[in-house]
Amino acid sequence: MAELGSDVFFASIGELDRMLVAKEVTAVDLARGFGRRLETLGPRYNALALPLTERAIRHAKSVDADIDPWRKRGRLHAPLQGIPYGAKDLLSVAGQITAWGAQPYAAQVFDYDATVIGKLENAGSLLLGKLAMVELAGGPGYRYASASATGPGRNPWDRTRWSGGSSSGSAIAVAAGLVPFAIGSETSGSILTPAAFCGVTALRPTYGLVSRYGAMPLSWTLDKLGPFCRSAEDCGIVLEVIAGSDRRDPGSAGKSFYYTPQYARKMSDLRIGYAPADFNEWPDEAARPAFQQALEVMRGLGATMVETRLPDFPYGPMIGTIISVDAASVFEPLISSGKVDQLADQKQIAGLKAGLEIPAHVYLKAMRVRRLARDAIFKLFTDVDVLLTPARMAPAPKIDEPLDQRPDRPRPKDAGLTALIPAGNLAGLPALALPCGFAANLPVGLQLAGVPFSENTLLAIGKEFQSRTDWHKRRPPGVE
Amino acid sequence: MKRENSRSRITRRAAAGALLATTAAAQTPPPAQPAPPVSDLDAARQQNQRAAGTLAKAPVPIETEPAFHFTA
Repeated sequence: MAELGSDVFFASIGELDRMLVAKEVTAVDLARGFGRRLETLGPRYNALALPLTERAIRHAKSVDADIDPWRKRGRLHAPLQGIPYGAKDLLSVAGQITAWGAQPYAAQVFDYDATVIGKLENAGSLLLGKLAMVELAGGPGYRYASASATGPGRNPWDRTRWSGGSSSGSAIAVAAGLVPFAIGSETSGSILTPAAFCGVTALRPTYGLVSRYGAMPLSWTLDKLGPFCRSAEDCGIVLEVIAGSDRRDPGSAGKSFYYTPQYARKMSDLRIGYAPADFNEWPDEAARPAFQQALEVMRGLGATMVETRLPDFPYGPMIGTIISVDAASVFEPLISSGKVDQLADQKQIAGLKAGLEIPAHVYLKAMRVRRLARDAIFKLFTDVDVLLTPARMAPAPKIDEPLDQRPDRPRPKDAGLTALIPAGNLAGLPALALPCGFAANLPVGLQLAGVPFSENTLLAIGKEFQSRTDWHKRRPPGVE
Repeated sequence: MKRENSRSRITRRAAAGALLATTAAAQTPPPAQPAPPVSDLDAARQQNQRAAGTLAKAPVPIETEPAFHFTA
């Protein structure tokens, strides 16, 4: 058995493919090496919900047999063959505990695989474990990082800082080299936030592109599943496997995705919309230099930079109302049974209870305003191809800090694109998170959002950005 | 030793002034007590009400349907 080093643990999917073809490693080596690492280091960051190493090794043996004949052709049958990964614990795996990060569901077992798990299994990818998450994917809101049955997600760059959530384990595991890629979910910010705080690349796909069958529902018209990876290119490779039509998901768009960087539009043909205030006024003082330098790199790609701002809508109240009502409906049995009080976060418990009391007309008003907002946002894309803004305006907060306190400095007048996370989720837009530097030794990241099904454009810009920067290749200190 | 009678020193005018002052003091509202902490549930309800208030102000044309997806 090959002893794996940090060059393997932080390798991209393409690099691991090359090692597998050259027989420098086998799929079993990868399953054992990454599995041991995930089990050893995962708990250090509260990143692991359920180890599945033995299951992965069994799968790896059959994958190795499949890979053998392909080696003569100098490539694998599929790029994810033999590549280990982790999945957020809101995805069901037949016969295994799926706790949704929440104590009341600690013994929950489904007898079927989520569609994405099945697709990755068929592609020869090796599931190493279920990854930690904020309980119930954050529900209608939570106050502390400790809102999880596995404890607060600790940031690999500084364990006294939060990893971000709700896909905390997915971001941590990729950042610390515990898995080559991971699957997470976003309803409003649960992919982009932990990706930015942990310094990894991640993609929130267009609503409906990836089936959510077998995933915990939080909000039916907002939930999306997406990959956390080492690079934009790896996100494209994983998305191609997990995307596709699924009749079992009523929200499925019925579309596939093919990662085609060879057909990417020239950067000089693209228009990138941005708001200067997002880079000069809104960010934390310490984060401004990183964001401003990243903006200059983007400018240097050759695209036309266009100043823009989001249309004026109450994005926060809109998405808050929709998630509160949907979550209260999903978890009504939990609330009425009283078991909701077993959750870790008092604000989340209260939010779920209060969600049951929101009148129907308020919910419908939110959904009607949402349609107007979506139309206005789509109109914005007649002037630009993508929107660019910091993913979060500050690096990761301290792990015991209340998450619902606002910075005690005056808010800039120009809102720019600062509401892009709720606005992009309400409109179903895809978004890419890209690490873009550091503030006080903690990673910060950008987000790029585009029109629905423009993932190839986002990934092309991300790939070009990452060919000129190395932020996505940085490793947390003390993690070998 | 002769005991001093303090009552004999209070004039009617002084007594009336003291009485008025006492009445005025009784009418002054007591210093505000800190409000009882808002429970998480009350805070969540208030937040939902604020959201509803904001949404109520958003104009929506009559023909605008909610952003649901339903196929027969």
